[in-house]
Amino acid sequence: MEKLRILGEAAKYDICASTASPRAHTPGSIGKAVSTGICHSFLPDGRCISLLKVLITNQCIHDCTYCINSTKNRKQFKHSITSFEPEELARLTIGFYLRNYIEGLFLSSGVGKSANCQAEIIHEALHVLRNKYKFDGYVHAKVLPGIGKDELLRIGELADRVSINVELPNKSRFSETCSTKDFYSDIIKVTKYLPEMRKKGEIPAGYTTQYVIGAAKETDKEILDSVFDFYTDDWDFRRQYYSTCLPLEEKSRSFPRSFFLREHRLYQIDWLRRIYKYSPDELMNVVNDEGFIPLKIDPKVTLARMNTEIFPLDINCATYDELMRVPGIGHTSAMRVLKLQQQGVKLKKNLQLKSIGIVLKRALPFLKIGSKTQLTLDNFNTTKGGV
Amino acid sequence: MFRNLFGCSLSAEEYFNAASYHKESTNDLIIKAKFLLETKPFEITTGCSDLGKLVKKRGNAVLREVHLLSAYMRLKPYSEMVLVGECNNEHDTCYLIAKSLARRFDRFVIIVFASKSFSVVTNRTDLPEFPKFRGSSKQTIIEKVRCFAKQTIKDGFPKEFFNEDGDSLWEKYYETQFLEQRLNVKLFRKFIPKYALEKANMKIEKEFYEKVVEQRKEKHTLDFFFD
Repeated sequence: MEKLRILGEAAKYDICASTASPRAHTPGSIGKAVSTGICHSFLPDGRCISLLKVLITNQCIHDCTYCINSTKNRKQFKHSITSFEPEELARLTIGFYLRNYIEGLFLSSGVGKSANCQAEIIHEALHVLRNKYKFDGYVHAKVLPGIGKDELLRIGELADRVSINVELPNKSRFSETCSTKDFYSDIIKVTKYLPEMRKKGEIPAGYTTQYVIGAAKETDKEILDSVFDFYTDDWDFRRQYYSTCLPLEEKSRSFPRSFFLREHRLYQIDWLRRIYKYSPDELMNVVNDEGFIPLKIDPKVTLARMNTEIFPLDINCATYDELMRVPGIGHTSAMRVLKLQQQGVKLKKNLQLKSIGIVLKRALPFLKIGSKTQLTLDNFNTTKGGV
Repeated sequence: MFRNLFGCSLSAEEYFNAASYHKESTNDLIIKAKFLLETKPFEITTGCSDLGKLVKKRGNAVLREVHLLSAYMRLKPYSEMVLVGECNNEHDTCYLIAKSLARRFDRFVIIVFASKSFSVVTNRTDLPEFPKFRGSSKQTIIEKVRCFAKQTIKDGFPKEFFNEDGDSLWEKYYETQFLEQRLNVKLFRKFIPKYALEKANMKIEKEFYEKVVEQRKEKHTLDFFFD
């Protein structure tokens, strides 16, 4: 139990949202990774823990300043070193799965002796789980920095999704936080193997990465440059996650939620890129002269204020792409408006907009219903908010 | 009226079937609803008449219960390939919940004890038809099903997979994953509504949530000051 506490706690900062994979279910096995309804477990901090998130070992040879398992921090905080046996891990995963606590496994690890040696241990654990105990549920495996191509391929055969933590946006920022890893040879080189694997049909749920926010003096602009690059077809990352670097001391455990606003704004920009299909150039306009996204204003509102030529928009004849640019309207409400347009229904009242899920507070200044604009467009032409 | 234009992803028959499991659905209403289904099914999907609206509303309530309870209900595994769950459902959804779980755990026999009834379901096709499991207590019924499973199911897992301390391991693990700095009661409530927390017997999560919220009341942060 102590082992689970140590290795669970060491993995809690890793993020993974998906629990579904397009892979076909193997009859006679246990577990399913098909897309279903809701996740099975949530924490009081609102994070989903439908995957058993653990490290296979917390022993690590690297000295990353933000990581609790690094050589520096382990000495300082006197953490003990431990590791799971493949059988133990399989027992835990299947035990929790049968109790309906989890939907799969998220397996990460510290770099014990070397990346390849540790990758071999991860592979063995997954092999036991998949082949000996026929576990067919979702498995997300973390790719260790500096891992060889063959080792990565072997893990990719067994995992639904893999992820490699880029952590910081470029070489100089990376070296501010870690002296034992090299950004290009340990991270980027490994990342380059992933698109090739995906094309071969391995890692069916794709691959993701994660940034640690505030670990170095990196700006949002630097992060966004890297993020937009990774979303291009050359890299084709499925998702990118952002995790605020939290102080490791016990005494700093409680502080204002506003601390996480930077992370929240980065997620908003990420969604505007992936789902709302804004171009990187447009999104970069949101960033201020110092290289940061203004914290006080929603980036979509800032972008709408910049595009004065298309607003206010007549909701009864707007296209999908135009609707998606209105703050307070997302994919679902845009589709509903389109459905109404096709049925010949004219939207005439604010209440109607509310009933189809539009957030009136944000949307009204940018909409025209019939010939009327719904709110006065105070400061509409100004570029408020540090943009 | 507008909401009804969109919220019709299910067919009228699906709404009708679900509504028939609602605790307030009488035989009389089911007969009337069936007639409506055969003559004017669109009234159910759009909810444009009183009866149609009622059928749809009740159908949604039942489906919501099945959806939540089958996701959040915790199970107890037995080495005879039997999984046992317990919930305090409002509607007559015991069988539907068990069926939903059987789809997920297709190699197992599922027993769901609900507030008024219990169901034994499996998706396995290699088993003979279940006998009628009767007993004065839950334990007796579980024993009977285990005995039946032991005689008929040949495959299985090593006994270590069904150790007794699985729940305490989860309790420990659940606590380690919590980030105090990120406490977000609103979000937790959104994902696990109070309804599910109470009805699905999520003891560990409920106790931990209450403990954390209690602690938060004791030490307020200066959030309001920075906003």
